[in-house]
Amino acid sequence: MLALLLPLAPIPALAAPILPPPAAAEGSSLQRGAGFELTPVVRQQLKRIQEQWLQWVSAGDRAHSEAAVSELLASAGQLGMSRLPDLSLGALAWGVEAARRKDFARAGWSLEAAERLDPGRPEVAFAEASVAQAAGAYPRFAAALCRACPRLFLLPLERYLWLQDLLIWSLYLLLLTGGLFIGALMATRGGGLFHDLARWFGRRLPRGVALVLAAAALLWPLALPGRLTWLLLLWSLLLWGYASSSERVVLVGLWLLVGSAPLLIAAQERSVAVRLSPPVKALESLRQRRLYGGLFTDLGLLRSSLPDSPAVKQLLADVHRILGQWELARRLYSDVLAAQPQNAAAMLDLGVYAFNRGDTSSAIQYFQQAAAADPRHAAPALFDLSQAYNESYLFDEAHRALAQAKAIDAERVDRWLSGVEQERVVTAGGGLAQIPDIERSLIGPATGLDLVQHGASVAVALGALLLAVALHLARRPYGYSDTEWQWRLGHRALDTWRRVLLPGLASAEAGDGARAFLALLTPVGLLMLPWFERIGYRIPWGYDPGNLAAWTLAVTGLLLYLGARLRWELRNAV
Amino acid sequence: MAVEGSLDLFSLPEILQMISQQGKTGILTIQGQQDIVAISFLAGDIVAADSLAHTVEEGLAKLLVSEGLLSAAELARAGAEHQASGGRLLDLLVERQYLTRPQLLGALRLQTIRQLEALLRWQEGDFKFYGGDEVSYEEGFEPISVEHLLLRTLADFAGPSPAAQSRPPAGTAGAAVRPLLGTRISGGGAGERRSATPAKAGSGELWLPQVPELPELSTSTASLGTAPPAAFQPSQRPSPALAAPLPVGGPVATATAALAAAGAPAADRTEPPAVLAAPRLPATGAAPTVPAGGVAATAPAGGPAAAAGVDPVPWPAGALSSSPSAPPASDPVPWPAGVQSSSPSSSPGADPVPWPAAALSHPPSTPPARPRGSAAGVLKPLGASVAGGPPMAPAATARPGTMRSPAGVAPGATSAGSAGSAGKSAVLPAVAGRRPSAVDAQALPGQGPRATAAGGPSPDGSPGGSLPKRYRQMQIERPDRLVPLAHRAVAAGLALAMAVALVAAARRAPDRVLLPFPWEQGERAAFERNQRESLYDKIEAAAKTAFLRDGRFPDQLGQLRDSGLLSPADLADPGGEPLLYVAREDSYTLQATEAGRPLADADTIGAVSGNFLLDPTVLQSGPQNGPPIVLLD
Repeated sequence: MLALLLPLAPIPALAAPILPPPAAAEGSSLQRGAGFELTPVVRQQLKRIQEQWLQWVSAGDRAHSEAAVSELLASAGQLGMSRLPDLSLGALAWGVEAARRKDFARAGWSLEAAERLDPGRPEVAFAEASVAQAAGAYPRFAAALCRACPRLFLLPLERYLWLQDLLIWSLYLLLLTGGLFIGALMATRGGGLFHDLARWFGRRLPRGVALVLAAAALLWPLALPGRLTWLLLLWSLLLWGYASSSERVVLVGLWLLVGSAPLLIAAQERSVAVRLSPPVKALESLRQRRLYGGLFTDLGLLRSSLPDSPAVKQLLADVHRILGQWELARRLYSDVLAAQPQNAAAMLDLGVYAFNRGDTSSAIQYFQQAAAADPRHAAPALFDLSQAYNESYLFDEAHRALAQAKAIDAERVDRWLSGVEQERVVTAGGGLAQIPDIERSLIGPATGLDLVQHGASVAVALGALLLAVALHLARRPYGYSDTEWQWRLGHRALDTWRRVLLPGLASAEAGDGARAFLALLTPVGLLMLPWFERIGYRIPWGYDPGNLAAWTLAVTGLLLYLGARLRWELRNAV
Repeated sequence: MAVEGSLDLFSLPEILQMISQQGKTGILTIQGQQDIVAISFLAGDIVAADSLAHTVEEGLAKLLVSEGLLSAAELARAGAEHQASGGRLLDLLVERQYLTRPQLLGALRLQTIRQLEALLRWQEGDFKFYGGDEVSYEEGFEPISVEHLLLRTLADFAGPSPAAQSRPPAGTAGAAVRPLLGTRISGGGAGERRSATPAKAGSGELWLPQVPELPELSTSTASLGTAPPAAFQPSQRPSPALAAPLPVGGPVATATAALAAAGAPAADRTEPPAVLAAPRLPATGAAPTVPAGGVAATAPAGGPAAAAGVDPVPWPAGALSSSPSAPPASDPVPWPAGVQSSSPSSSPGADPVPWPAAALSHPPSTPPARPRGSAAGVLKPLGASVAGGPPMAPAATARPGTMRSPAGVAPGATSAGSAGSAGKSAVLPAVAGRRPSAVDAQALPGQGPRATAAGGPSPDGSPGGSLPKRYRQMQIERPDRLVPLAHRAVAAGLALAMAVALVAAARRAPDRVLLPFPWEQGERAAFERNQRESLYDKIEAAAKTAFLRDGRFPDQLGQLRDSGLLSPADLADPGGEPLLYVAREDSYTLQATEAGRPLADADTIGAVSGNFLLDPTVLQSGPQNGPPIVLLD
């Protein structure tokens, strides 16, 4: 409920007792800021931000820098925004550049400015660490790194992409490990398979030919387009009969994973494509009140993408309202109300527009309709109604409306009353609340063709399972060759190191599928850590922290893992 | 070839007996909760035992001190010398003349026996036997016969061991009554290892019978434990174990069953007294007298054995009492004086396992001849004639290195179609498929019907016929199923090549791992497009930050990397190919490449237009700006 209501920021237009003349006066000087209409007042405000940025760039000391930053934030605040991410990254770049020139003083206050312009960005903390390292201040370097890590997940887009990367990385890890697991099975049980194939061919053919045919029977998938995929699939089918129960469980899990991975990836692809699109980036920025350079262009793209969507119109109306472009907002609210007559948020905002223009009778009508249309908006509508009655000297009605509003939500009404000097009436952020719906509209539903395509992969997985069982049942009466075998390198120490350095092989020799898979999974996962982002999507960090942490974690983890394996081997050697 | 399983299924005495009967050479490992013990067998006899938790030298040192062969001071000195000189403590003890070599070997043998006795108390754990051609052991070590070890243990279990204190539940009366499922003899396909389904003839499977129930033996040995111990007890150190009841169904019963199953001479008249008191006798203690007749006289007349229909004479009391088949040395023999006076080399009837003092002072020189006396009414020796059936003889081993079940084979059957022809006929004849115990083959006097039924003749004696479910299925190696090393090497080579190729492919094209099938080409393209889009977004953010700083786009993409705005990996597309970057005054172009050539539909243009922070013209008012421009990405 709270999210639906956005208290009006101290917008100059609202501070004025009477809004500028609508329609004609405003329309004549409108400019579409690359697709999004901007009034001269807003344009002037944006120009002021440009100038203040130049002032910051030319600032020679901390005091001037702080003053310029304060003015920048004040200008943004007048547009209903609280953060300037582009300028924050610009200040960060200035700071890093200053540190390279050994101007650590400028680097320091540049980074302070960056932090103030968009608080909580991980890039600023990483840049601080970099500058501290360049200055030789290693405690500060460590502190900055510690501060940076928790920030990695604060930014919504970056957090979203990181989670998608994690999903891709996990799938990739499981599938790659699964391939290696089949390789381990082949290394330990494949001798029996090859022997049985050669024996089978050798019943009617010379031994040499039988051996060649056995090898060909194992390698023919290499002639197919998806070579390794089919090869691994074939081997997993043929080795099923030689595998232990736990190994078969792992194989079934792998087949199902191969079958279901396309479904997951496809669902993710649509979502990621939309999240990376400029309109959705604009929506996210609006939600967090971030004013970046291309915001208005991206909002124009949003309107082009969904021109008839009432939700988009209401959102754009809200943006206009936040910027103080009330006449533009009114037109869009009216369009929304025409499409959705029971849209209480639009009624409420239109009532606020009428109230601010002094048209209390129209305002009273809108507020009464809003209170009746949607109980979720009843409290603000009744509160605004009481204010409108007050303006009309209908104090009894005003008291009654206020009492009704308090009966619904006393806490919020008290809060509105305490801020009534700044904002006489409250608005409803109906458009901003519909951002998730807009995102879903942009993603769109999955098509039937998609499901058919991905169903093929699932069918292959299930087919593999059935084929493996059928093959096993068919040839079980003929028996399987002995596959129990341990590779010996002729020396105990060598064998110990073989088991340590080739994880999974010893467990595969023992027929413990789960342990073999996990033994492979750990080192593969550690080795893949530095490729976390490269396998998936790039996260648009403004200042790249590099891969040092991932490499450190991978190398340390691998050493610890191998050390633990060696220790276990030495302690359990018989 | 290896045999493995759990002690829940095969008890240790059974396993030892099996290895002994077949004259196997190899190492048996038993993994318990606290320790792992490895026993080395040479032609069926034990030649070494090693424990993971307690080294041989550790145990030997304790034994030497406790037996008075070394003082604590001497041992400490020897230890110090050992530390200084290195090498083996055993060699040092002889070299520095702390001990003679025969003394050392005797002590080592005793240490091994004690370790094995302790091991036989284990009731839980896993075992695995590794067959081989040779094992290493201390040179000159006198091999320990399994049969005598088990006999010794029978008596030892009458002692106050922790295992003996807790009586197993009646339902577990003897490992012999447990169904033998789950034991694995490798050599077959993994799919059939644990299967209980009878396989067809020629499938290379060997059928083993269930271990017969031996309640009579268990109860008879239990009755032994209730015998008044007075006559057994050495004067100086009474053995409380003899007063305690023997655990029914515990290792004693199992050991007895194993002995019975093997047809071992379980009731050697000269052995039980020595065995009974042996572990607790002091090295120089007064020789106790073991009046066998006295034992028999003190045994309860109407114990459980009698109720079970067994010969009421308890064992070993019955064995010690006069019987028609007993050797003449059945009189009360002073012990250990009797043992000492009759060294193994001089007396074939003496205990082949020398007792501490005797062993240490007169270590055995040659293996003693094993007496083959039988305990009438209780056990029949292997190969003895069975009433109503052919004489039983140990089945021939299928071939060297092949483990088989302890099956008794009729002599006439060993030449054709028996286990000896493994590889041709995998299924043993019905008679051969039974345990070689007289008790399961024929009802002995006093035996109940269950004992007979458990291992009775197979209803289907033909090799190719189906077998009843009470037979366990095991597999033996067949030469054609043994995989040559070359075939294993081929498979391993293929696996290695595949792993290398897989890692390389995964590194080069991660999308091929996630979406591997040919019909997923569209998804791969979409995935790659998204990856490229995210990369372009990141580069755009960095380039515009650089524009804010410098007032222009960088000339080269590498400048963004140098200023920390991009990572080195960001200079290449998801496929690893470098990106083409061209900067202009107010825009730049990025182009993905493939093999050095620009990739179609994989480019992007970044510009300052539409960005009010970079492009001042965006905010210019006036009609000269013309119609609105909508950038469609």
